[in-house]
Amino acid sequence: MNLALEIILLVFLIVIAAVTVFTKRPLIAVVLFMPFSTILTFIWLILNAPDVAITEAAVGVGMVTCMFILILRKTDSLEDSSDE
Amino acid sequence: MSEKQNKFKNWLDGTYSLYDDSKAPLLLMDELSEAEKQEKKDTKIIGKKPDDIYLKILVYALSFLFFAELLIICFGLAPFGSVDSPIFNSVSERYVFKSAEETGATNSVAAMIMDYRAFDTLGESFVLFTAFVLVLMLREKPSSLFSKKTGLERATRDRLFYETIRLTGPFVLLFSIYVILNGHKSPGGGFSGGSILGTLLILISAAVGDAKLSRVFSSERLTFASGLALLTYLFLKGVFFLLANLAPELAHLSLKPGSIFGAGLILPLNICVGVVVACTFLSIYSIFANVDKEEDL
Repeated sequence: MNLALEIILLVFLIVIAAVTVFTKRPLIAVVLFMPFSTILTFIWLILNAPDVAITEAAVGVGMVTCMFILILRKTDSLEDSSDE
Repeated sequence: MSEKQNKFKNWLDGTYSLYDDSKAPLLLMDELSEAEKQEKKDTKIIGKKPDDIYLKILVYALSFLFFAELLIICFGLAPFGSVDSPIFNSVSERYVFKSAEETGATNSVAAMIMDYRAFDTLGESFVLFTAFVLVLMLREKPSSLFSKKTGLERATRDRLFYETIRLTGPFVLLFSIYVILNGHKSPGGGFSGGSILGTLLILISAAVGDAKLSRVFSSERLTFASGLALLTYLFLKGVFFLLANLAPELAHLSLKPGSIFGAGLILPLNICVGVVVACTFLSIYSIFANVDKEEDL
């Protein structure tokens, strides 16, 4: 059961990582980074590393997204991406 | 448009040379057309520029080789959680079985990073602090971290975001303090709690406005708090490290595994690391939020 869950999560992780890398719109990449971090959090929990999971949830979902959206705003990439 | 401007425009277009008026433009055109012909020939043969193709093949081959190497290493590793794997040596055995008794922390991870390897954690905190100071030095006026031009404030000024932060903020704050203070008893510790606290401060800053938050958390205060926390960490750990080696009787701490104040130095060190991490997160966010588009790009 645990192994199956792990494999499903890892497959999702790889798919989301690939989409994040290959998408051309920066906003989609940034938003997709949130489920990436969330899935990684669950994987840390399954692997018995709850302290890493707490840090991953706070940094990966909260801080990194805030910083990236801020940088997208600063470089006008938010407006550009909506035109495509 | 004057003659000079015309000449400059032509020079930009490549039809006018600054060196020789009569011959150079023609030469330039000839070279261009030859290059175009060459390119057309190449595109007929392979479809693209040859350099690009070879470079791409090289990059993909190298990436695949690296991936394959990592995969082979993965198959060579010991099975997950097996007792025979090389990580189960005397050091980890001591960490697992003696950490509660020696450091008073029931969370052996906290015992490791805050007691056995406390100076390593100090170095990591200094790395964070150095990054913060370097980013601060890039700014021209480090005293005015927050200005009227704000970061996410305008983008996120809607009712839903504000109310969500207002309702969940206190609980997140409480949880972060809990994680920092119980770092030696439960999962978490200074870095985890500090990052939760820093993220919460960033979200509050985006919700209520950076200028409002700057009244409480000015850049001077943040720098002061980080520096003070680092110095406290250095002082506490350094003094106890020296005392434990020179005069072990003086450095004796009453250790009670499982209670909040029973873990000796781990609790104050956790608080120091938490303060450094939270301050660094908020400072770096506010520095980036204050970067002006027209000014810096």
